[in-house]
Amino acid sequence: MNGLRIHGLPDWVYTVAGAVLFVCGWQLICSLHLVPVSILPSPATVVAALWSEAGNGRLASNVIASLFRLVSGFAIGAAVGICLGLLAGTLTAARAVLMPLVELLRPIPPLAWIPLALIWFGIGEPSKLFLIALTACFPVLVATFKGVEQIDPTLIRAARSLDVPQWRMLVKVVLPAAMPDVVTGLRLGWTLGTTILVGAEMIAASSGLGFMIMDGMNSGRFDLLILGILTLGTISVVADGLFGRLSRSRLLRWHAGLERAEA
Amino acid sequence: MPSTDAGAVPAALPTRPPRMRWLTHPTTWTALAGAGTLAAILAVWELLSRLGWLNEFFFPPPSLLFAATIELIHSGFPDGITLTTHVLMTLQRIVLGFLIAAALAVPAGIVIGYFEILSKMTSGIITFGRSIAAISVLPLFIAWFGIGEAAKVALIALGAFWVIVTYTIAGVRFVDPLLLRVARSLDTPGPVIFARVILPAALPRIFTGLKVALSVAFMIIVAAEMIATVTGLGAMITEARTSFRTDITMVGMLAIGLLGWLVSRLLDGLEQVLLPWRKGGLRA
Repeated sequence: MNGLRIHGLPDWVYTVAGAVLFVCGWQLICSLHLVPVSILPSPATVVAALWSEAGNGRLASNVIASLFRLVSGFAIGAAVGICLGLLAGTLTAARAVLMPLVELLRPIPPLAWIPLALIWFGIGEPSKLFLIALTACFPVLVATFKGVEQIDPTLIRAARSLDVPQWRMLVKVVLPAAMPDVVTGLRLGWTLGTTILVGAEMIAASSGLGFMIMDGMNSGRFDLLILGILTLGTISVVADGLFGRLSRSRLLRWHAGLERAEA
Repeated sequence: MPSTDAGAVPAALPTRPPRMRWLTHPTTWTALAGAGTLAAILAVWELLSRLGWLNEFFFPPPSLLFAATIELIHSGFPDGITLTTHVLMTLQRIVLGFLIAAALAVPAGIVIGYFEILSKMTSGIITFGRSIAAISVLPLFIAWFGIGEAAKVALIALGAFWVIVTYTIAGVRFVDPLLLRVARSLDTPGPVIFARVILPAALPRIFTGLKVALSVAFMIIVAAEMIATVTGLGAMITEARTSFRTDITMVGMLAIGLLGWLVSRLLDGLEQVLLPWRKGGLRA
């Protein structure tokens, strides 16, 4: 647009070049001993840790433990969020009860629920599931509610004039029309869910990537710690890419104004 | 988290006389209905607790929460640290981390956004950095900065940095080309274009970035304060749990929520004053 203008090479070449430069700089800092290697392991050490952890299967089992918690908690939270959002969007009475409560509780940062979750459910799996489900629920609920509220009334009137029964209307008209907002809510819910998962796993767990990071700190294995951070980051990037693709997919193909939401 | 206005409310009736218009304004009724619902929920909660159907330890009734609030304000918890001290400590850490992040991220974002080659080269690193949950870096920062204030402030700065830098780059890169062409056709020198066209056009997005970053900071502070401190709202709720004070935990959660909400309202107001050309601007 402005400043330096470049032509020819595709974007990804520059992105890869930038990443390579970054890693080389990091390696250089470590090789020249500008910082103690004990607290900042070099990229080579982290790759070696990846090799050995992947080899002995511990990395895979931690990733699976984390993903299992995240996916199951997210599924519960998203389902509850979509149902309550549809309810609040279509029934005035449900809206009057739900939305003030949501407005009150939503500003509370997800991580602040950790102590209460530990009081209610103890330090086992249920409290982790509760935390992730709760965290994912709020953005999904609010997004669904907004999506339903902004449906073109013509759609509803057209369906009514065709004598579509209530239940069919909800599934065939209301939900599909609100889908772009729902997907946006799901995406945000997943991101926040990842954060709360790490928090929960750091406090009390004996498996998962949060545990791996914490364990790396406690045993002074900073290569494992950084490997844990990078693995989590990779999972988030992949998941976010999938959600981005979902929002552009056939599921939402009838939404012409979607590019606006993407920008 | 994106901030929400109090429900999507249709425009006010234009034909009403200006005085007392708030009485018929839909927002007033939405707010009143909301307050009524909350009051009803609190009443039912209190009643169930009095009847012994709700365990007071797991679900302390509103009257206990109120008493805990009074206790927090007057005698404090833990060790006589009052609510005011907790709030001030939390705010201090957030503001410090936030300012450091803004001081680094806004100039960096402007430079990266201005040079296309830089924005292409950094896009992968920034996307990845933003995807890393700040809380996962906490153990690393404890090792680097110790368990004192520095690690907490650094963690907030890290979380806020990625958000602000992303929005700043986008702000600089997506300046309306028409504005630039007009400025160039008037033979405006480069530095003047930058200061008088690009920067003002980018400011709304930068400001949105600052707002989003602040909500991120409020999320991270809780994690940061769980480590080796007794001051701050995050430390307060953690301490309260270990001393089996559910009431104080709940009051602390509400206090964090309220504080975050107030600060985001403050920034909204500031935006109206500082960036008046952003009429009905873009939403995050």
